[in-house]
Amino acid sequence: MLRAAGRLIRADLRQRPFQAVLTGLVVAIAAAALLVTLHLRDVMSEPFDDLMRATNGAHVTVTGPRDDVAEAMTLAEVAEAEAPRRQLRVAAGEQARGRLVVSALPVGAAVDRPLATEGRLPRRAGEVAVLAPLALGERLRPGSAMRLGGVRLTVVGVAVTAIPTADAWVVPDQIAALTPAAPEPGDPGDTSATADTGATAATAATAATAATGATGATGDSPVVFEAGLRLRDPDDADLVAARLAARPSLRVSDWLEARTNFTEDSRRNFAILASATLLALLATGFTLATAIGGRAVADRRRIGLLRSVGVTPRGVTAMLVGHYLALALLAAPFGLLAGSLLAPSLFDSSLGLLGMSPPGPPAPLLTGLVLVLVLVAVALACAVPAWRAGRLPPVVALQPTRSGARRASRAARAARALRLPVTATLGAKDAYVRPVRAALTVASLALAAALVVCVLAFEATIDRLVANPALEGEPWDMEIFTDAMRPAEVDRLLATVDGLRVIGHRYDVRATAGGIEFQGRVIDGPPEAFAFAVPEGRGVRRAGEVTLGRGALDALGVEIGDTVTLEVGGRAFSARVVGRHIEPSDDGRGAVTLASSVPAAALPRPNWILRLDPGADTERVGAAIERLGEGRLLVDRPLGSAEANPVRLIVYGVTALLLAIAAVNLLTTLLLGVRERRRDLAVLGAVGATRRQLTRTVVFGGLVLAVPAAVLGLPLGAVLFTTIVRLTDSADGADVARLPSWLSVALALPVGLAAVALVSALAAREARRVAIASALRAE
Amino acid sequence: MTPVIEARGLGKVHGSGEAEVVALRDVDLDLDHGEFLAVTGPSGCGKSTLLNLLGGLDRPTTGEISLHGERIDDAGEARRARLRRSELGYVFQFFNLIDNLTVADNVELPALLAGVPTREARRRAARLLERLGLAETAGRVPGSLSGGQQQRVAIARALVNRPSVLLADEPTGNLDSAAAREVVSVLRERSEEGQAIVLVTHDLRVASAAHRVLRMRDGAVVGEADLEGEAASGEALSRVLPLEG
Repeated sequence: MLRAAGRLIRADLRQRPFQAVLTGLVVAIAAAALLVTLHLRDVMSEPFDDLMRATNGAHVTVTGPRDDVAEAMTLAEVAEAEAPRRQLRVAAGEQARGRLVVSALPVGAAVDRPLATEGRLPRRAGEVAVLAPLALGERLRPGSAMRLGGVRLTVVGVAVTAIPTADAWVVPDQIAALTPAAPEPGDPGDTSATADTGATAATAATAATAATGATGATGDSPVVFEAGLRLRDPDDADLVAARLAARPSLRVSDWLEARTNFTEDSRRNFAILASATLLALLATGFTLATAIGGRAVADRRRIGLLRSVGVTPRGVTAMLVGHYLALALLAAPFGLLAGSLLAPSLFDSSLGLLGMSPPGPPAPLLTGLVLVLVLVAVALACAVPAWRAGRLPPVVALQPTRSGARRASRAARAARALRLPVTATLGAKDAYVRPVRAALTVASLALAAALVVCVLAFEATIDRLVANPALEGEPWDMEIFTDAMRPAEVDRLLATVDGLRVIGHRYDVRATAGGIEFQGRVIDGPPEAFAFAVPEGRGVRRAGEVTLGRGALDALGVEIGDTVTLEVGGRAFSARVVGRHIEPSDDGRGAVTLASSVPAAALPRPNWILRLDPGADTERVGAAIERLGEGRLLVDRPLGSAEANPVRLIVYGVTALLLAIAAVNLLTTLLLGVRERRRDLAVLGAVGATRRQLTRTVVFGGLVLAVPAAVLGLPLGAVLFTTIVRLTDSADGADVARLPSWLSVALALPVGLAAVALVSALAAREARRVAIASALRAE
Repeated sequence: MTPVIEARGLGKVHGSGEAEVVALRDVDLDLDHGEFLAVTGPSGCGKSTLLNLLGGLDRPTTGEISLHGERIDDAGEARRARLRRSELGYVFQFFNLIDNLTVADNVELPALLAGVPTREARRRAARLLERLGLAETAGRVPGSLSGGQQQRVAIARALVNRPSVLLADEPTGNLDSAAAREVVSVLRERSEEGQAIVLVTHDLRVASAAHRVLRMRDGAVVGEADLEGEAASGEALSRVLPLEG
């Protein structure tokens, strides 16, 4: 029996290689999508927590003078800390250029011990381990040589930490032998002045902490000390960090902030990818059901013959299911291979925040699990049509003539009523001759159309964000960070730059109200120039007013019009809530107020926010500021639409996958239709239909399936997009997201229909090839 | 007068090598305007192959076919398609009606494919169905009709573009004797109205309705009987029967 089934399956694959390839392609796509999703889930399943566990990571890191750091370690909340580690800023030569922060790592370090992802940590003098992003950027690997502080060292490992505070680690004996970099006016004595070393996580972390305000100046010495603090209650990290940050000599980071940054990004990516994979699997199921359902109809005679030679109904069912399982077994490995190759690139952006290298390919166990899941899904998709085929009585199956339709095609009647050409009438009739199959194909096309709407909406939203940075909580054209210059000096310098319309200050503070902490943005400048996006109420205009993000409003239980008492830097003040602003960070837990509302003593060092003259070239102005700042000013330019969202790759990738599946489904349906209606096509030829007319018939068949799919897919896409937005940004997603314009949909529709016509034309080639005489002879 | 169809030295070979089958060899045939020609012979003798070649459904391996004096055997697929819908009407053994179109739609189909305006196509279909006694079935699907009715619908479809020649391949082969009589009667009526007909059948009683009978065996014409003026008479039948002997 098995041997017979094997022979039949082989013969079938030989006979219809194109259909087999199409079905295999869909299975491979589904396998790839499932593998990527599950791998992402594995990688994203609290990787930050995993890293914290693996490194016994610090809940709070403090950097600054030895005595201040040592004092921080004595706080009552601290459960575990080790002797402060010396940090040194050194000149880097050879492969790594510029200046790097090197930390002395004792061989037996127990707290905040970097995790070696390649090689090992240094054990003796002459060895160095480098932070993963630095290794990636500078192509350093275990065995590479690098010169640090005038000493040639051998890279023995690549490592990561939860909160990166150094670019490289050496043993304490080695750090004493390194020559500190010559102090520069811009050196703050912490790790932030290493921007010229390239995109290191330590640098990025510094920029991030500078933006949160959890920092303090640490003097001009290139030598500082660092300690990682493990707290009794890790959830207190933000409060402890806030208290320590009040000391100007210390730079402080906490693990909660780092985790939020990482998990927000990964959660969003996962939600998008998981939704798309679900759709892809659904579409795959539709396609398989279409294929096997069509096969059962087209192979009636063969099934009848099998039954008549003694194959049981169960045997026929098993043979059909086995056929598709064999096909899936052949095709799935290609998909699994593609998924394994694709996965790491999709994770780059998220893991980069952690300073982690992209993960390796999915584990063999996961790959095996996906293979099993795909096979089970294929078996389930095939089960019903195969079972129905198996139950077909042999006599019925072997009947040379068809049973005949009981009524005329409604689709044909509708086409006639609409006075469509005869080829359209015939196409409509054929497209809907198998209602279940037509429904599956329409569903698959509708899913693809929905995802196209999502892509259009995604692009519209990105364009909106790029055009209006206020929607990202950044209502300015450019922002300047520096710890290396005095504020008055920066003000004077900026006043000389051409192209600046308004110069303001932004203070990032940690505000508390009713025991709840959230991010505060204090603006010193004309409020109309730096107007945040305020969907409810209005923006702040004068002292004593505040706007809150949705998360802050909910957490505080206040409404617009209420007065709240806020505390910043230990100083309290009251403000009236005048509106809800769009707050993209920290689940909407943020406040915006004017500097005149906050006691001056509570304000930390500012960042500078700039509005440019209309038409001014952002790049040119930014370059001029950097030039004038002689490397001491960090210019944050707004993102262009191309780089605005790292999720684009995922969204475009899954859309392409779903479009491919939909195309395969449509092609399968039309090819099956051509095969089943071969005799009708021959009859049409016999009564004078030209090949062009036959092509039009099939193409129109594809189009009449696409039209209801578009009608269903457009609103479905809108719902899907708003749902994904709500899932990924519950606070302000609905305010920020934008559905595509009617114009873009109107332009996309003909493109989509043209694509459908193109796919249909492939099936039409089969229709044109029907040899009239032999088709009619074979009846 | 030029015959409607003129075939010279027609040959058809299916397959190649060891699988080669000679379906037709060196057949000559003329069909005059209004002539009713029957081609008969045992199964596999090449009758249907001959009809397919005359109808432009297949290409001959050797020989020439002319329609109204113009060669059609070397015509491209598009021209042959146009000829099929304007000059040739086809009737098949298994009716070959499109099962999910109504009777009227089926009959109108060749006219619409030929670009005849919808209203005119409908008018022609209605008139044909009326003349063939099928007016009441216009809105029904073919599957709800008897075999004889279906074949009459097929004949109506074949005639809707007023072809020069009606080609009928075993039109009674799938019918009981009463239905077969209906169909033969329709063909004879059309013939009397001047329609040229080529009828392929293995049923001598059906063949006896024709003006002339060709007898085929192993792909070649092996006999011919001219029955003009004696159609359906007992004498005609007796003259045809020996052909099969």
